[in-house]
Amino acid sequence: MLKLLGAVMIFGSCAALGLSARQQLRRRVAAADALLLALTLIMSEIECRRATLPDIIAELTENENEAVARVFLALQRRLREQNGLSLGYLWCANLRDMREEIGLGNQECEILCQASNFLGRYDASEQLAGLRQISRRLSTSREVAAQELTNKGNLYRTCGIAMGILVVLVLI
Amino acid sequence: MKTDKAFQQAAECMPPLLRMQLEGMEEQTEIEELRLRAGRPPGVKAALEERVLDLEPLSAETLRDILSRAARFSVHSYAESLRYGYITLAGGHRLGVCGTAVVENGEVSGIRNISSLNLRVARQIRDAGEGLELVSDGRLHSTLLISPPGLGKTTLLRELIRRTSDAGWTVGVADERCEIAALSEGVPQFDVGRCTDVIEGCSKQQAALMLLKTMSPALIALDEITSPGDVQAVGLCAHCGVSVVASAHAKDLEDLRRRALYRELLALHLFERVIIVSLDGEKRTYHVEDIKEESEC
Repeated sequence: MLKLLGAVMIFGSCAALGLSARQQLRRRVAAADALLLALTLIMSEIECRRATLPDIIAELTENENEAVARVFLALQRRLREQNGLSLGYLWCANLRDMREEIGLGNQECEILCQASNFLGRYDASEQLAGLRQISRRLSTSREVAAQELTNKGNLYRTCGIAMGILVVLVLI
Repeated sequence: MKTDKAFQQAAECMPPLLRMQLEGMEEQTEIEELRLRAGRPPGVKAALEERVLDLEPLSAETLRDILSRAARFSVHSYAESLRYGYITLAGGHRLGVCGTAVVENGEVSGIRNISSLNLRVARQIRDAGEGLELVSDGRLHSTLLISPPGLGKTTLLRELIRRTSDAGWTVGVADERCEIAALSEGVPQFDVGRCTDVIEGCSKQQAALMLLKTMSPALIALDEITSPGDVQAVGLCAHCGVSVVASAHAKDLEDLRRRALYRELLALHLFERVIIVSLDGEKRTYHVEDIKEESEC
């Protein structure tokens, strides 16, 4: 009985490892999707309403996408601290700090951080051109992540389960 | 060290280190302008004299950062006023911007490669033009305030508005550049009197029309008449029997008459008096001239 229980636990842990690796890839794609959505909203607010960034950020904190709401709520909190740091700095620091929490990939995070060079500093057309470029690069990176999920996601899951079975067989 | 609330508020748009250095300065109450130029240390202007501060030279990137901060990190939201080379900060302070103008369809659409900034500190000086009143013999007199830039026309205008309003006259303010009342959440940051209605952020002509239609003012105040549209705004008020107090850039009456735009303004026969602001040493002096009869000739 004890042997069987041990075998189930080992199998479960190995399978969980595989599933968790797959889940990470899935979260990376979801986070990229969420931030692409946020970029689209920022662009339309700048283009159509010429809204200020603090107002846009406030709107994004109420977004129904949980990842978007969390990222921008944290950014809003940092802005309200009024510690004299520029928006660009806060934008980068916030994304890097929130990266793991929302499952954003390192590459996607660095692409988004580049928006800090122009966000809120130039006129609407220059910012929109910059944001479109960031959006394009993020889309490409998201496609790579999605491809990785398709190719490796199932592999990780299968490997996990197979490893569990193998370890159990070896131990028994 | 004597700190000045208005100066500290204006300096909020500076990067942390520069802000700290500026906030530690003596004679803050005297400072009227902060002059910031790329490649040069910051300077301050007090009583029309500019003094360079013993600080590090500023880079063009720092100027860009200051503009971004002044625009609440949203330069795109201030595109309209940047076309005219300035943005107004909370508290009515004005940041003038110089650099390479971007021209589209023959009109300036913005400024890139910022070369210098001028932060004008707005203050309420309650004794400005003490003794000057717009009301005499129980009626309002349309008045034009003139002086070269930086002598305090807007400050004087604000005080005349406040005194007239507190005396019970309904005053409408067409505050195109948001400098007279500096509304924040609808509440004026400067005391403009108890019977004052303010429209800000649109052209003087539009604002005057809205005030005339909706607020039935006895007096309309307009700052800095600089374009034919502004003269039309004054004309609009003249034809509706409303008194006007306005300001314009000119050294004296002779200088005013030399310019076609102001000749057009005087030809409306609306203004009865001109208040000329000039500098006597470090002290501002106010000289009142009657022009009603002359403009009617």
